[in-house]
Amino acid sequence: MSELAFLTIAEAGAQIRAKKLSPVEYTKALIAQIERHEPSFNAFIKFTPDIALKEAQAAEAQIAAGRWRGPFHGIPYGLKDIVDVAGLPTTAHSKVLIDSLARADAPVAAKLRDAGGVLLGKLSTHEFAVGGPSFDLPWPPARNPWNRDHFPGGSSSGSGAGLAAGFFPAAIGTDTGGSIRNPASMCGIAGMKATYGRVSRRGVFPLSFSLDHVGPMTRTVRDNALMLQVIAGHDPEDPGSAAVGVPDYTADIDRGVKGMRIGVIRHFYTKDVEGDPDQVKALDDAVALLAKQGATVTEITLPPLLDYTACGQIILAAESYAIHERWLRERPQDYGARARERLFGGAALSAVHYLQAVRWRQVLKQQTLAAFRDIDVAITASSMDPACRIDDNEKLAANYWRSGRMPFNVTGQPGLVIPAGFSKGLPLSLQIVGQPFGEVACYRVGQAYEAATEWTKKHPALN
Amino acid sequence: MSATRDLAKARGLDKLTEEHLAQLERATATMTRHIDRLPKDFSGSHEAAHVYQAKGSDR
Repeated sequence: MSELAFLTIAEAGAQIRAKKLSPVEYTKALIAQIERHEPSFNAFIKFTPDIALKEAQAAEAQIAAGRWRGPFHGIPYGLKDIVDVAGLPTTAHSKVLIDSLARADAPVAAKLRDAGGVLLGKLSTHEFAVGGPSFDLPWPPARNPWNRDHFPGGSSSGSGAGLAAGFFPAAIGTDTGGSIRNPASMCGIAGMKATYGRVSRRGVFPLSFSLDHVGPMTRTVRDNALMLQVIAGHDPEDPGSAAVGVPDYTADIDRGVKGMRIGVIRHFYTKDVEGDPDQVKALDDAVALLAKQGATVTEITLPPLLDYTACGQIILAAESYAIHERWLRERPQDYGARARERLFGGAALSAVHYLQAVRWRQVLKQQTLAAFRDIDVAITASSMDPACRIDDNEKLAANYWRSGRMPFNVTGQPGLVIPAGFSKGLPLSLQIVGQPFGEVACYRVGQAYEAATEWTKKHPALN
Repeated sequence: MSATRDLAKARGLDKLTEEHLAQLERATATMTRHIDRLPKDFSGSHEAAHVYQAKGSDR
């Protein structure tokens, strides 16, 4: 395995800036890693080595000429294949869009390009970010690099798998009900669903307008902060975009947690849902570690997890059905079974159901923010279990509901998921939830935990 | 299944196979569980999360 495959953005970026690492050689090493291991993990829908080498050469020339653009210059990355890149298909991993061609870059893609990034390709996703893992689509589903017989999470499945497999140090995912944080949990990487509106959704095929988030996926917390720095910002053409200034996400990242106030939402994973014992222990150990490092820890109580699930799923079903209604009428056979069944949920809803859920959303948000009043961040579960087998339909169906992620799509608060250990060789995780636009605090807590535990230094064997 | 067929017809889903109808039935059952959890005691002052504004932001 190439020693370059598991460099972080911070490490590679520093070496590239110092001209100790050639962006071209780095990209070639990752291309070799991909060519060797991609058949096992299916992280890509469209691998673009030619584009990557061209962009790497341009980056190298610019840096040699003294025109360094920042920490992302010369860094290879992948994009979930619902993000538009001009001239490339945006398939959403679906037969429905197999012949599509994007006419313009999504702002998130344009920002990564302008920062000097090197596009390695478009990545596997659950079909339309909603239905997977699916074996009845034009492309196979991504698999978990820790054990390829297991589920890598979704819907940003290729992003998670590719990061864990050392294909790239950076990827973009999206999160509507947990789809950045789920693969982060399953693949042992860092995934940030930032505050709603923090990153432009324009040019990203929507699933649910008021729940969709676009965000960074990386192998470390620092890398995640570096990547959010590139992609965050107001987009006046995205009606959900927040006109809120972008702070320096790494300014406080090494300050430690002494004096920080951390709330633990323990009932989510011990009472509302009974988490796997190894996962519960990992969370309890993480909280104890942060307390030992000087954080003040208190248990907080939010509304029941299933309330957020019901509210979020009604909103998601209605909004996604509105998007897919015409295709479901005209060509239902062109969807995979999983996406089709999940999208059908919207057909059962009336306008009043949707409006009641949207009224409920306001109540849940107010109750949640009230619970967060005296804390800086909260810690809770992302996934309740390590990854199940990818062919275990019963477990996949059951685990779909076993998560602590949807509450923070409903409220729009930031949620950072990072690795928290292993169970029988498969990653465990924890979720750090911030105040609205409180990503800096999430990163500060995440970095303190990561530095003390070093889970992110472990990589799968890729046999 | 006849309620599901009626639903499909009402929604203009005219091209569904028997397998698709079974999926629609399961999806409806799942969604009904979520609907059953909706609060029933909102007052008139409980506004929706997104309120249209005529000027400036739409939110």
